[in-house]
Amino acid sequence: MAEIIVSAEEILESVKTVPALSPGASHLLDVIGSGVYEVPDIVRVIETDSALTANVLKVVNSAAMGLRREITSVHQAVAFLGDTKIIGIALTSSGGETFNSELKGYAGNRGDLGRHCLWVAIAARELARHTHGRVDKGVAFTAGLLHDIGKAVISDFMVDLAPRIVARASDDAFGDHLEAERQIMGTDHCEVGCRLARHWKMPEALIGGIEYHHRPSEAPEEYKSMAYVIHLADTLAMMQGTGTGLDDLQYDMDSDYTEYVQLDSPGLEGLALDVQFDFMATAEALFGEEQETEE
Amino acid sequence: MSVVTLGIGEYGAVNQKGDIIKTHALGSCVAIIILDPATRTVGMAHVALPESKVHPARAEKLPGYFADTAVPVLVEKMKELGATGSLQKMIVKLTGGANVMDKNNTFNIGKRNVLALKKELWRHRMGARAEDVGGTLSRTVTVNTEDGKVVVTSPGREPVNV
Repeated sequence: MAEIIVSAEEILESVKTVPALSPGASHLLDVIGSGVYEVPDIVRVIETDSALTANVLKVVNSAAMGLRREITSVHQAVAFLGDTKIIGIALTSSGGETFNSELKGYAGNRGDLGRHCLWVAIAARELARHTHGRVDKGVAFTAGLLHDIGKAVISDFMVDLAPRIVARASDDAFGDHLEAERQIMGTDHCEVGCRLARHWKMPEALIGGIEYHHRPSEAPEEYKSMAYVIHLADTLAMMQGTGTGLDDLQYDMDSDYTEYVQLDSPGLEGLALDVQFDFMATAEALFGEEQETEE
Repeated sequence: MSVVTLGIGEYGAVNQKGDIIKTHALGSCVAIIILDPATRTVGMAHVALPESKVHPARAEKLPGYFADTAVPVLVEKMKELGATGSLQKMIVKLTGGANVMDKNNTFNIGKRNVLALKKELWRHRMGARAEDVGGTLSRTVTVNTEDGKVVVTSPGREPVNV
């Protein structure tokens, strides 16, 4: 039964007030979203945008990254850290406040969204290796990085509604947190994310990963593998405690992923372990030290 | 007085009056908490996976990550801090080990983490006195040296003393 007290259209319209991505970041998403790019293409896009280049070099040379020598070019940075990580640095540093929002509606701390998205991005990149080539690792990483951007927008509308959404999710044995968001607000973070992605003029392959990451079986056939990769990566992140707050583990898991990602349970556990170590080496440089809210 | 916050796979102990040790968002991970009543030392590890044997290099770097390597290093850390009680007199509590909402039970890492910790405790002839495990709640746990209370909080649930 629907019980909508804020207007869904108001929430969806509000994506238009989110600042546009820089031209360089948009170009980067177009190149990656095409799925047919080479590493030098990525380097070229970043190099032609001075703000992106400056951001990449600043993060790569930060103390937290722990590199012993100074990196002076994007080309060198890619050689040291790999192309996907450089994409992550370029996008999160140019997405500015979006990745660093506090997510009050999800009771998340500043940096939680960025950290969760980075974990999911790394996991999605690794899971893509087990899709028989159906999902490109760079596209998977980027879609992982962007999958929850809708939360940055919807969170502000949720602040007063969060207790009711949590109560609805736990009272209704048939529904999950996404269903509760829809019932209380008339929309959910996937739909809002999709709307924001269109506002940012992102390629369709990335939008598919954002829109269907909690309901991968509903994705159009061409984006299904991607949707399952992000779905699985998101689930692993929440299990490993790198979620975004009060919705952790509160989503239905679709175990039909086995048709799209060929990895058994021990394989997934090993993958989660590798992702965690990779994540720990990068998260601090990108998002600073973990912060806590005073209790 | 200090507050020690453990990340995933980390372990630590405190024993000064007013000290606090905590860990956030356990998910399917399990926090093992060991209290030494003789010295009011409190130890904790944030365990993420049941077995270290297929990942020896990772276990060396982060022994608290695995159930089988976490227990011995945690006990050792507590002894370094001055815990004097015999293992059998220490109080052990467990929390975490949540599951995802999966009708087919594909993932049971949470349950396996709890079982692996119990098995390892049993090898040391120790046992858990209390636990708050399972379900689909992501838990945060805080313990202070003042009264040794193990307080578990989760979104949408009143704090629980374990």
